[in-house]
Amino acid sequence: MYREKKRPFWQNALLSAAGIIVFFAIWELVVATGMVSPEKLVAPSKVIYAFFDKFHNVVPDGNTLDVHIITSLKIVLAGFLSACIIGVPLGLAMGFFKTCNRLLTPVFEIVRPIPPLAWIPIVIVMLGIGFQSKVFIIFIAAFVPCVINSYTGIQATPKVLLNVARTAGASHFEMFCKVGVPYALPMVFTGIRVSFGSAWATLVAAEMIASSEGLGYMIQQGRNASKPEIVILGMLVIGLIGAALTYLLGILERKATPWRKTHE
Amino acid sequence: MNKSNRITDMLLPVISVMFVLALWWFASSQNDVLAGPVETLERFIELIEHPKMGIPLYVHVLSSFYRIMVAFIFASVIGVSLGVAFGVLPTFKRIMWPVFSILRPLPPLAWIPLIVLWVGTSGDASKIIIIFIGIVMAVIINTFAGISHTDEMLLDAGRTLGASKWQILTDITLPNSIPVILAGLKTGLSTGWMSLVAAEMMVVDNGIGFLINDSMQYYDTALDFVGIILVALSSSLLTLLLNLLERRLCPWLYLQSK
Amino acid sequence: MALPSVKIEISKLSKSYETKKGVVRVLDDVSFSVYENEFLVILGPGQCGKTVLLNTIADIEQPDSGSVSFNGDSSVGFVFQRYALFNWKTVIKNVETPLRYRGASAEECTATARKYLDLVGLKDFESAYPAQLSGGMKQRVAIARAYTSGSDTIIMDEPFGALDAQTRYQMEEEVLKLRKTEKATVIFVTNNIEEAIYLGDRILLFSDKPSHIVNEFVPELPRPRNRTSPEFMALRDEITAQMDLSL
Repeated sequence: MYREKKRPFWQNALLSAAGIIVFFAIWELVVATGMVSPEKLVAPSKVIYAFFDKFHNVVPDGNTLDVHIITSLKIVLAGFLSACIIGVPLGLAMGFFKTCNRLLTPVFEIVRPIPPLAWIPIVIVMLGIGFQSKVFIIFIAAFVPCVINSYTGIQATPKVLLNVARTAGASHFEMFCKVGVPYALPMVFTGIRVSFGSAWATLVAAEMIASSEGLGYMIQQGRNASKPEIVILGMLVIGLIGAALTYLLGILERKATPWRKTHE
Repeated sequence: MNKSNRITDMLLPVISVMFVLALWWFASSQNDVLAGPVETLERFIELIEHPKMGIPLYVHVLSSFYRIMVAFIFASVIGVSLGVAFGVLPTFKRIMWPVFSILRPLPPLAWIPLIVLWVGTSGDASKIIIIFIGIVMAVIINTFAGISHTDEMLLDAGRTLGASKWQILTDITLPNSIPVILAGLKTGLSTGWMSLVAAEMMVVDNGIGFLINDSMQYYDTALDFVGIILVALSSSLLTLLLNLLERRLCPWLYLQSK
Repeated sequence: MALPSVKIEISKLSKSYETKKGVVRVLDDVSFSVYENEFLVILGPGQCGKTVLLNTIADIEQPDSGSVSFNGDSSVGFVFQRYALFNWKTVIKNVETPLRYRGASAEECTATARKYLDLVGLKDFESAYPAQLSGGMKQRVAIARAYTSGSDTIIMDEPFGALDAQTRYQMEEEVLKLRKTEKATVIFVTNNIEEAIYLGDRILLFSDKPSHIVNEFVPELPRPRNRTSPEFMALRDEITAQMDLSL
């Protein structure tokens, strides 16, 4: 019932292309007929123009697109990497060592449901309005999935494997390093990929803290200046870079853990 | 496990929470602006006795709840319908999936400026739309995954038992996907809270996000902690309700196998 | 005795699949008849395309060439190796399913489902969920469900393959017991020679891929059959020899 009718390749390609073309055609038409004011939406062609224009035009936000991209990448990567470095070992330890679990899980469960944005006022007081605060907001967003996946991954280590290691004379710590961690690795990588997703998704929030550059800042300024082409351009660039980096992480994941199931 | 062990097991979580409180208290004593646990509690009581700008605290909480519930209901209905359509109508999927793939990687928060441009800042509409976007993506993706990963054998069983296509959908594919759909609703809800806070911080009139935003304007960190605690409690409450719903809807997931 | 009438005529079935390693021929010009009310066992090595054959008979899959024609009712009750129970439904709701699909009244559904649950010895488990049952019990539910559909033909695809030896013996008795009360043509697939001889009125031995019929056996052994009798063992040896040859 859900199996697709066998169609030649060109027909499938045509259908998919039709979807995209109709989408953009409607968009273009809505603007061309003046159904919405140019203060709210501009034609896709104008967004494409804005893309090339933005590399040397600093209006309305004071910087070119490449500067915004690099600033945002720096913030997100710093927050994301520190979240991995702290979150993964923490999650693994919480999942493997009972004392760690009892000690840290309650704290984690308290912190977990707090949206990263809600920390902003406190972070500003503690760390100021510079680079560090923005990184910290990203860090919080990326931290949670790292911990959760590492934790569930290592908790699922089969008892049999641990018993094999124990009868071979491994210490508890050796069992952690040589059985638990390798077993959890596929889940850890998935966690890292998910955590990158939430880091990148929080970018706009982090750049709500007094900024003068960055993609999130750029779309805010685009809105203040009622320039929808800047807003949409910013959204698309954020989406594109996010998708590209997630894709790269997926490749890395498959390379690093070739034994995991190929389908997903 | 012997007795002393059991006592440590119970004590460790208590110790860890106490430790966090102590750390919080210590950090606040080192910083003039950062409020500690006691100040936060005092601020909370004060907010109840003397509402800020005449808006009682419960109004903020209820406004936030109202927005997230409306968005959640719309997102569930639309998200599940679209997910089902992607799952059971291959041609529809062929045409619409590429469009969906363009929209999918856009972070919910990145929509805020555009939605504000479109809908303006007055009323609840812009906030509800922003929250809706936060929730709906996870619901679509999970529903689609649940539907399209249904075990072929169950579909074959349905066919040999004489099910029509419609019966296969309503009686086999959908109930079989309920756990995955519920997981999508839960993921969506946590993104939804994040979008809620962001929306209420940018489009300011009331709500928990309003409180948080206000605390930022006046360096009123006690108010921020009140907001943080309210958000965490509200979001945990809704997650708890969803878990209860799951227990009611899917009793078979909670059975011990023989 | 009158000649048995044909229930299903399978003629010249062929089927190939495209895989990464090229085209694999699964069924190769398979023709045979299934007689009214007989217990036909299809015996063959694992992966020999028996499932494809059954799916074709049950109209789940379409053959490349050849045909399957039924004399009368062409619906079948299907019992899958991995149970294929709906784990979100209670036992009785599972068994009722085919009647519900047909739009039968609630009373009829419950009454018929109870009758078959009673026949497979699960009367007391009607409100349990499949997750609470053992493998053998799950397969009893699946068998009851297949019979509830009211089809003249019941197809069982290695139904006891996942069960332990003792449960397997019990289930074989269960199936034979049902034969006494329920009139139906049964096609039973297995890779277990003993099971084939113990159950079958007639046995078709299939080869490995591409599958074709190697030989036909009609065990002339009185029921209940004795697995340790010399005749039983002789037949077993004979089939074993031919099975090895055909590999």
